[in-house]
Amino acid sequence: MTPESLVELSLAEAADAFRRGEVTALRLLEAALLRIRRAGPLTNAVIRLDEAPARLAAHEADAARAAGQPLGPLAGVPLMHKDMFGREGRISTAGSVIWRDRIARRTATVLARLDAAGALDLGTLHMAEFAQNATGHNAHLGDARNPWNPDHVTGGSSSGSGAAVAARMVWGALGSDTGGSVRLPAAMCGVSGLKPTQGRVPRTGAMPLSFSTDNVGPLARTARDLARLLGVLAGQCPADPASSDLPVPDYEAALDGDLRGMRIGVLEGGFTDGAEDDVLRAMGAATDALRARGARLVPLAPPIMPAVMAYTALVSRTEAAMIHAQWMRERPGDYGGALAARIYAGYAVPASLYAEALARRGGVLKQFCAEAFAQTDLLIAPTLRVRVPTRAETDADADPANWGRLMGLSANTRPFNYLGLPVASVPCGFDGRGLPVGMQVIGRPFAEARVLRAADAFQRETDWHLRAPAL
Amino acid sequence: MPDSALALQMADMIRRWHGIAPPSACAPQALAELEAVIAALAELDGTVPFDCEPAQFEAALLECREP
Repeated sequence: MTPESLVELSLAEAADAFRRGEVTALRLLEAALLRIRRAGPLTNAVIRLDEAPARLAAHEADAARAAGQPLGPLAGVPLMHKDMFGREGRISTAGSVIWRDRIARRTATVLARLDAAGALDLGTLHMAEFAQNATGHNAHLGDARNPWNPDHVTGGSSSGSGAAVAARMVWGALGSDTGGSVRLPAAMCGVSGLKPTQGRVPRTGAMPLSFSTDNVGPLARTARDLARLLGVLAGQCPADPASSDLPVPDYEAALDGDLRGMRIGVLEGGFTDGAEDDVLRAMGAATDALRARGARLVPLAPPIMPAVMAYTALVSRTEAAMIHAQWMRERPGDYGGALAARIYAGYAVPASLYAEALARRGGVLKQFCAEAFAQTDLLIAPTLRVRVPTRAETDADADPANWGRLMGLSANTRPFNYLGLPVASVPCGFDGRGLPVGMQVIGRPFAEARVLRAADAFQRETDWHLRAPAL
Repeated sequence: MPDSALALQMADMIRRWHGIAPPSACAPQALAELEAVIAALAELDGTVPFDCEPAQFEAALLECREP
């Protein structure tokens, strides 16, 4: 296989090809480096390339396979990750000036699990400063640029993760999702992403933004890739008391392409109000594809949304303000202007309302699930209501009048962080300007297997996820 | 700087409680966004059942799993 054909493999295909001896880890690494040298500067997706340790790991993987040693499910496959997961002795900048020289004292649980599964860590990727915008603007690093059109945003805050996977620089990447930061770049760059159930994936060693709503999740080309990655990432970690002790199922085993008998609620109302025609058209075609696989689609007005939206607006905002308070006092000038303003507003939230939002979170979740899943097994909704915007029209630092457009981008993703539900975003079409459109697939708590089963079935029926930007 | 009466009050409160001044030109927009949140919370008043015992979110996640 040529380097060009290797990078077109999905993560699962690449890992399986390595396992069968059809390709070496070194060749996969060389193919990735070739793409990074070409697409990296065009997208500004890469912060740090760790070529030497990745080469060493590739040689070790090839030697292990040659010696017939047991291989992990990601053996030999190069990955890169949002620059917010600590690796002992290395710098994780969080896309900021404030953490520019911060050396991690321990390796994040998710990185350790990827290492143990045999993945090669090739370096770190662009992100919104402290994981706090929906676009990939970054006043310090420069903006990430969408591989489909560099004038447009990548989505954020896992901007480099979306761009690098879409541009075939790596086969998968970690992101984090506190209000949509995995799903938005997945949707805007035309790749697949998963925000797991709150607590499904441990967060030890990851930069915190909001203790109650932070999630670590993967971005990759296909739902099967997400299933493989989640199988490695999920599971209790003693160092993260918020991580769930539920057993981790075999997510890939659930991917049978069969949606017969599955009832899927199509969220309307607040999730489609004001949605652009290109988005609605893509969602309409997506429902046809799901129906072709045997699913029964039913329109659904989302329940208890006024409470969900109001409380969503309080929790992450207040927790982020708390985490950043000392730096906001001592070095406010080291933040980008829009980010500083966003954090600033969090200090105005009364403590009693923050406590109310948390105290009612369980009750709101129960009511949402009781009503939304009474007649359905899954829900779908557009990841964004609008087409992928340009970098200029969402740059609030350049023009504060863009603030509303910037903040509105995560309207369809934020609610599920408060609810803690698992959500995948998969490509479901392209808009009239040639930029991708994404669809969210939402499940009950810990129903990642069902979410990924539907996403995989959808991808067996469509080819949106196979399309690559011309870079 | 914040220009509505409420935003000015919030800016003053933030300065007093946290010692933080409006950091950038976007600060008014950020505070104005909170005015919309306040309105949304006012509309919720009395509509969301309140448990005397705060509902444990992690327990609710488990309770809401697939049957």
